[in-house]
Amino acid sequence: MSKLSNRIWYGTFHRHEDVHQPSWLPILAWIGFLALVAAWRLRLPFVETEALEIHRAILDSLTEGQIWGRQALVGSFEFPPFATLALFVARGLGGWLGLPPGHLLVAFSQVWALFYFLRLPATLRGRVASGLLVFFLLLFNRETRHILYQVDPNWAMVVPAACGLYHFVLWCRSQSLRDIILLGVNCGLLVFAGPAGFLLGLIMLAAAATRILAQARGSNLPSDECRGVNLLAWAPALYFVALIFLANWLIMRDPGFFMRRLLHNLAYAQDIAQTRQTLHPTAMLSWLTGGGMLVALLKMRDQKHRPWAAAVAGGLLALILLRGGLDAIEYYPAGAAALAIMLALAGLLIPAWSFADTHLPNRQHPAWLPVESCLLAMVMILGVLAPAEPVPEPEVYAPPPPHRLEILATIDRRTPQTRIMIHGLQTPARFLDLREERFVARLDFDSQTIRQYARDEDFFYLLVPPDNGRYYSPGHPLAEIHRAGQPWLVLETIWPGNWQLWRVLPESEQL
Amino acid sequence: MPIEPAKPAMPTFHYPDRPVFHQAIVTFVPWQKITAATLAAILLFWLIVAPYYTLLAVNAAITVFYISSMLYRTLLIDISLRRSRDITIERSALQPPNGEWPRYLVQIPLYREGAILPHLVEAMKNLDYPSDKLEIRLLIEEDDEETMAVAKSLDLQKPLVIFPVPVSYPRTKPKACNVGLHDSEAEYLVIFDAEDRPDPDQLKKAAVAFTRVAPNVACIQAKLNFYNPRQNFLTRCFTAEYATWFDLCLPGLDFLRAPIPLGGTSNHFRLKVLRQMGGWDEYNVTEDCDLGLRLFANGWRTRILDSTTWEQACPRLGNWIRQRSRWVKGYIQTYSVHVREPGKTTVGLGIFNNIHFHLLIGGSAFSQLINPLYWLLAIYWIFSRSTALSDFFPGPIFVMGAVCLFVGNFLFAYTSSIACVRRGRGDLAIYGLLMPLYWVLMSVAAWKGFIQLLRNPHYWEKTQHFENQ
Repeated sequence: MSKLSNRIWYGTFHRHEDVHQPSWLPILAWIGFLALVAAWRLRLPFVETEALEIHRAILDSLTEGQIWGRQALVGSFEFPPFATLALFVARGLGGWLGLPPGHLLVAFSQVWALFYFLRLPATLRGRVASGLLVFFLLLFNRETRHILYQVDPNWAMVVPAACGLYHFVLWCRSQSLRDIILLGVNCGLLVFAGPAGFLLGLIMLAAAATRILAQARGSNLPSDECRGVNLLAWAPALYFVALIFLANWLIMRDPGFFMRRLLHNLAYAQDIAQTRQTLHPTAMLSWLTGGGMLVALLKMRDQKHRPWAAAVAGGLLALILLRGGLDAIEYYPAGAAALAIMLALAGLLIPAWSFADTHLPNRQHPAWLPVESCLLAMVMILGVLAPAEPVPEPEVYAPPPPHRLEILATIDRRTPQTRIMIHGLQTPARFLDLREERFVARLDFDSQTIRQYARDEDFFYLLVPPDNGRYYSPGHPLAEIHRAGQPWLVLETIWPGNWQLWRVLPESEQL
Repeated sequence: MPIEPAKPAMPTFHYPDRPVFHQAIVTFVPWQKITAATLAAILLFWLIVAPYYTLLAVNAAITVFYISSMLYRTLLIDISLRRSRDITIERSALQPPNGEWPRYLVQIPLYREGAILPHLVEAMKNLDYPSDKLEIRLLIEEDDEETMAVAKSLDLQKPLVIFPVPVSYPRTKPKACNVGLHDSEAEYLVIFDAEDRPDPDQLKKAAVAFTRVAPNVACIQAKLNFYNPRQNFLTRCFTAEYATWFDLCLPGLDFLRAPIPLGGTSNHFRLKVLRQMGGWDEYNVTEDCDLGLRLFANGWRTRILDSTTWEQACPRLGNWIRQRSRWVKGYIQTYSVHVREPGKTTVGLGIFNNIHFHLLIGGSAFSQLINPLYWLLAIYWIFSRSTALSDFFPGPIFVMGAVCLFVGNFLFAYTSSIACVRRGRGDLAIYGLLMPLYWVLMSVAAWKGFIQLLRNPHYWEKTQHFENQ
């Protein structure tokens, strides 16, 4: 650095030898390398998803200051705020770089994950690489490869996940305070990343807590310090959970709104899974999460339980492969070759995994145990990213909605320029109306609000999507309306695919 | 040019051959008063002409300040956790530099400390340093009969000596320290407070450290912490705060070669340099903070030593507020003194050090004063959902404000927990998360200090020390 720039940055009070000169070369080398990888990734295919469409709609609504945008940001856990806000940042940067925000977000997230993997210390990286065989195995599957190409804002979750995993691995080796703090902070961020992120964070924290307690039991860590370190690890996640409740209270006027909605949707996901021949990703989520946690806990416990952990891990792998195989058959009726390759690899890998886990001495390295558990969690992310993109369903399960102009033409014939209430996420995203001129969107269903609109505007309509579990869960009030109506609603039109348009009656005209 | 002191009721102590430097004898010099009045008039004018846009602009500026403080604190603590630069001296390295230990002067200013004096003497006797190379001066005001009587009754032996301080204006700790500065042959000097219990090997560590650091290091600051952290809620939070400052912030500043505001005690100086600097500003109630900046401005540096002096955390609220109000008052005094020549300060500090100076010295006092307003606004907004208030927080300002409120506050509390764990007091980490309650008290004290600055700027709010419990 020249004398002049030293004076500008550090002033004239300093003496030259005082100035700390960071070494810029490695930093610039990293930036250059990652920029090259990102450029390469940007040239690979991108597949637009419905998740992108919905997050984009939430973001547009949010920046317009609409109620629905705010509601969707905090009240929908399956389209989590982390992804929406990441898209917001990507939109700003994308506009500057002249790139589509979704592409930029996906490329950045994937390169970021790679960056953290490459930063792992060489000895660990070798072991992690062996574990990543599972990951590459998944790439044989068309569907999982397809996930890598998807422009899904949920990819943003990989950033805190990779960062958290990296610091977890380092912490297991060095017990450095900074690593456990960054693990805690990243797990805290994962709270905002939807169920998958939340559970991944939980797994990492549980694994860390188990290790901390094991150290305390082994007298390597004083109990005071053990309490403190545990607090540092858990505090961000617990605080951010509290923040979600607070945000729901502030915006939805119901602190538990997001949770109830999530539980309803999970219940629905099980229903829809039965309509397919393969295992649904959400079902996979519960298996993998439970299994991953069990593996982590068994591994942390003691030597005696490690074979059990290996068995559970093998079972989870088998489950993933089974799903991949079944999908291969479904997507390619003549896909026996792909299935055969996967089964052959599985036949080799699972016994090798189990044997190595219980017999090889180098697997006893303390850092290896949580790495394995977290690899399972990473696999889980890939499995779980899929639910954001609804399962491609046959037309019978998800008939296309009527066109926006068709709906408007229908009501304009009777009551020109009147408005329609729409609910949930998919429907408002499809009929996004940033000025609320024709469509008024809400995440929650409140009959009082709808009737208030009817009183104020004389003519007011309610659009009810088909009751196939895609747009609302079976127990939702819209399901009841779709089935039997309400005394304050008059059915106006039914479109093909069972989309219903109801006219809302003011109180004086109730049936 | 420095301002001549006003005629005090008692004689002013005369400092022979003292260099001239800006002092806090007046808080604001005329041009500062005129500038402040002009700015206030402009603000008032715009408040009348365009109240909405004026308040919006003020709000935006404060929000940007909050965001900057948050990012700054995060950076500082991350650096500290990543690559701490404390000077660590292993026990095996505690050998006399150049064959013999240098002469050391310990100064302990005392005023109405009779009750705690016997404990102090015990702590000083525990210092591991050759007595023929050590002098421990108990600086006792001549009219403080109580302390003087206790000191005489203790039958003090060398290296402990009573050093009477003539009755003179101002009645402050730095004045007493300046008086003790003269007629000593020592190479190094350290200041301790009445209730301090330094690590026994601290002097040796500092003496060795001075031989290891660059010649332009004039001061080595040891870390401070409390020996009564678990006495009550206040002492727990105070411990968390001290740990944050001494174990996280200062090592970060040290790494960045930034100006370091010194702590009140346990600053080890090269005596020669200290005399060249003119000692402490006896009118400044945080004279240590001022001295740290003055050293920096003259090309001298401060480093942090990994040795702790154990102090007493104020367990009583009233006493704690008095102490804290003095600190805030002193920080504002220091800030005011060091911006009297704004051009020189700005150019002298450069961009990086200006950020440190303004955020650490001016910013910390400012945020303590302004915080209550924003907390009240946040509470009001949460419960009333007032649209009138929302108008002052349009898009980007709302986002920044929400980040400060929900992330920034948590971050500051979380760093206190980190500091507790780093200090080895993991059981207090939970109190780090309860710091927002403590911040309310800090703001109360800040306002007390600010009001006192305007009414009685040189009044020294004495911190009362208690017998150990």
